[in-house]
Amino acid sequence: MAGSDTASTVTGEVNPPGDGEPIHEDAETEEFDPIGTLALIMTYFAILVIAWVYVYFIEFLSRDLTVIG
Amino acid sequence: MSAELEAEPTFVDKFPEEARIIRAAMWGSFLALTLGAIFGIIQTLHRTGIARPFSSVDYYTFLTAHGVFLVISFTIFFLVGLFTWAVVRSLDRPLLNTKITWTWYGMMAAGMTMTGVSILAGFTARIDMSADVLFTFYAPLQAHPLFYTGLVVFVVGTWVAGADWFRTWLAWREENPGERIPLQTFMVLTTMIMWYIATLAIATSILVFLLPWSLGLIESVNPTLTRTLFWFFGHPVVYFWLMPAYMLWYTVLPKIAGGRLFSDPLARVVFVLFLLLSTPVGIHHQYLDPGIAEGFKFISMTNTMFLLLPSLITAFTVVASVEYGARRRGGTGIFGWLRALPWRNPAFTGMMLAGLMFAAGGFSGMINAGLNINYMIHNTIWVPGHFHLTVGTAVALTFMAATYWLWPQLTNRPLYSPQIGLAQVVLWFVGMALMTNAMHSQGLLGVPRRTAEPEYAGFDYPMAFGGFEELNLQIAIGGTILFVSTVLFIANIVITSWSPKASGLARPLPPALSGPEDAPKVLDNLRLWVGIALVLVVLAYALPLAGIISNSGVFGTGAGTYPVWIDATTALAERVLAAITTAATLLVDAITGVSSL
Repeated sequence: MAGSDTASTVTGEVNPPGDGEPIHEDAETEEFDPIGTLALIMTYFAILVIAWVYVYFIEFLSRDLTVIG
Repeated sequence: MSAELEAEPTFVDKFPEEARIIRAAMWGSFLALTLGAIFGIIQTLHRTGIARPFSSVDYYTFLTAHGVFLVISFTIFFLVGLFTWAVVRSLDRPLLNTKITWTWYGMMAAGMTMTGVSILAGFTARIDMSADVLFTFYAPLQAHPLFYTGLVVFVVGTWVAGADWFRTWLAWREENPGERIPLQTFMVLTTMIMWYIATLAIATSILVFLLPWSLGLIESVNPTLTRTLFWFFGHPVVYFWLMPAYMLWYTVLPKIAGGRLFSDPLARVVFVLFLLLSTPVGIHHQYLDPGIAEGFKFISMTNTMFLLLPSLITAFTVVASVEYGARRRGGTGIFGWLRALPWRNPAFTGMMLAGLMFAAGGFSGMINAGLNINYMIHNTIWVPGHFHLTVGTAVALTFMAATYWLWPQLTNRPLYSPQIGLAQVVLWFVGMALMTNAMHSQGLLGVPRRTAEPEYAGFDYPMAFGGFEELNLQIAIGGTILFVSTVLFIANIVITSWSPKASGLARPLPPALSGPEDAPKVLDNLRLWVGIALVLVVLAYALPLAGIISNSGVFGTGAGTYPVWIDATTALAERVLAAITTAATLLVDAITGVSSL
């Protein structure tokens, strides 16, 4: 083991230099709850909802209704 | 250099011959990217009216070359290289016979050269050859036979490539009885099954209709039929580009983030869903085509909306894997963990920005997929805006970012400049954000796609969110930034060839948090998924195809041929034509008889 640039995890994974800073070993064993992922996905859905509202304005309010047939 | 690092061999150390093939495939891909970028900036400046050094007739040659070189050559050459890496790496065994591997590589290269030459010949009148038929080669636009022949040779090459990977997997299975298919190999195999099903239609379209027609053996084709066969292939080809990017997001991105894949079973479910659902949706590209009943279009829309499911699962799994990495790096808070990620790593930032763009592409994709609101944007520049977010960024930027990570392991040469790499991926994101935003906006104004001069005398596009000219400037600036970004990428990789060799470049991939042991065994039952996929395809396509054929016949009603570049119909060809016409009439009678039962 040469130094901190080759931190080994409990899975035996080698984290070589160039792939980022050393990782926190103790976090490995904790129960992982992806709350940040939930927050990001909720943000995406919020943007989607706003975008759909925006489409409503584009299609119906900025021009006449398109009637086909 | 520590002994531990020396003990970790890179991919090229373990599999030098395979690495050579992968590099060859990727060089092919980068060559296509270079050409595509040159044609891209010419188009961007031409259609926005900034600079028109070439005639507007040539615009369509540039457009065809841009499309074919990028979405067929750049993407597929890259992905066959990537898939070879993924199969060999995850099975940890060499390919069975690299002569076969070089054979499919040679076929793909020869096929793409033939198609490319037929397109580029359109620039000179000295050669009686052209193929300005755009990427979709809709009849009655007709290309030189070399165009179609090259595509066939190229596609058959990919079939042999798939067989090569399947054989390698079968050999591995004999050596490792009862083991689960390693995740990356599973992803390659499911993608290739989808590709086999999809390309059956395009092979039929070319070999039965378009090639004989361009050779003068048959007089006409049924444009609705060949278009429908094209989109039978044309939607799954989108996933053929995308699934390698997904593979990188699932298996490589978590590692670069410092974490591990959150769930192996979810990744398998996603790839199975893509295999099942990506083909029976092609008619959603034909919402405005006459000759296909609205009901079939509605079914296609429903299938398409189901297809959102695997992408949303991916959004969750990939982001959760990255978040896991951030937490291990000491990230905290609801959004604060984002700061702990390795944003200075071009491979990481490139893939994350690609994923972000894909989220935006998902939104415009939902507009495209909706039967009613599709009418609003159909055939406008909104559509190229959409697919520059998906294939043009989610796929292309992921491939470029992955190259920064993978290339050193294939060459034992460290990347020339990660800093330039970082600038390159950010420039791509900025350029694409400008260009596609303006393309979407122009589409809403009704600006057509595939048009050299989209401005018309005595007509102004309605002002909405930004005027036509202002949006043109955005497109031109965005396109120019993208060109610069491509140049930086290619230069970085080319200069890396002269970097001194180094050791310690291996980047092994960690196992998933929830591994394959948690995945139901049925997920690995490929026969079952092939069966269900075929049933879904038959359900989605049997009736529409029967309807199209009974309406206007197998060979159509003689819609004309554009451009008519060949007049050498020999007596022999006429005799063959007579025989085919007789056979076709019999076939039409039979199909009409069956469909009227």
